Amino acid sequence: MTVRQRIVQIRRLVAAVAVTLFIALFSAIYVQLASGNDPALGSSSSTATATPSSSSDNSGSSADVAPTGVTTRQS
Amino acid sequence: MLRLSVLPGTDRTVGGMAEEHLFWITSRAAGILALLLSTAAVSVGLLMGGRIVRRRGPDLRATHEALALATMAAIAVHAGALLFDSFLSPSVADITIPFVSAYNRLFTTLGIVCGWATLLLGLSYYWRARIGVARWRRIHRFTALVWLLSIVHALGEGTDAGEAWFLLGVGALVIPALGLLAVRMTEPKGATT
Repeated sequence: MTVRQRIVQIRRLVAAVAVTLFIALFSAIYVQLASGNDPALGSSSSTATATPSSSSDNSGSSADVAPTGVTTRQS
Repeated sequence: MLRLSVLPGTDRTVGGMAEEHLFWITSRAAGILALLLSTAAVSVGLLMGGRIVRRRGPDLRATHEALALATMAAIAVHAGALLFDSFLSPSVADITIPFVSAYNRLFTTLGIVCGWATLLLGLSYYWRARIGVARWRRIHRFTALVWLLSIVHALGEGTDAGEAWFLLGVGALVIPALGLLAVRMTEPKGATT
């Protein structure tokens, strides 16, 4: 095998590894987001679905209930 | 970090959100890929120039070049995909000019600077005859600094930076590379090429 052929072979190998890695990463992040376990999903979804605690003082409970709809935020 | 919140009572499912943010997912995947590829490229570069590997040959050089080119392509996808993200919807200036984007300004700027520096330092290889080989070698050493700053960008702004799989996967490549860099920096002057 000539040096030129060897170089082409290495380039193809690196390209194949890069594409495979990209597909793996894309799939992992997609599944993570689709299953609701993505770090970009705020913790408010679990907070909102939680049953209010059995506190004797319920005056502030209304504030704990999240509004319906989709919100987006940056942090 | 970009955060999306889905609240109950919505007609948009989380799975639907994944489909809605395909470009954002593409950008995240390409960003992690760029970090992995650049780490591999820096590692091979350090092996080429140091005393660790005696037999250099065209294989290491070709691998280093291919990894560097793949890194540049991944950076282009990382930035370019964001342009089509419906949530962040940045302008071309936001992703190419430092301090323009208001979103996470410090780490975004760091990422933009690292992206441009990687492209310029990487492509300068093809102009090394014009630049001068000795001068080009001195300039090329800044690649290690840019790589270190890109790790800071990833850890500071990356959505997945706090995830165990990210830290383990990236750490498995970055930590040995840092070791190689430390070895290279402590080698006596004149021992490296």
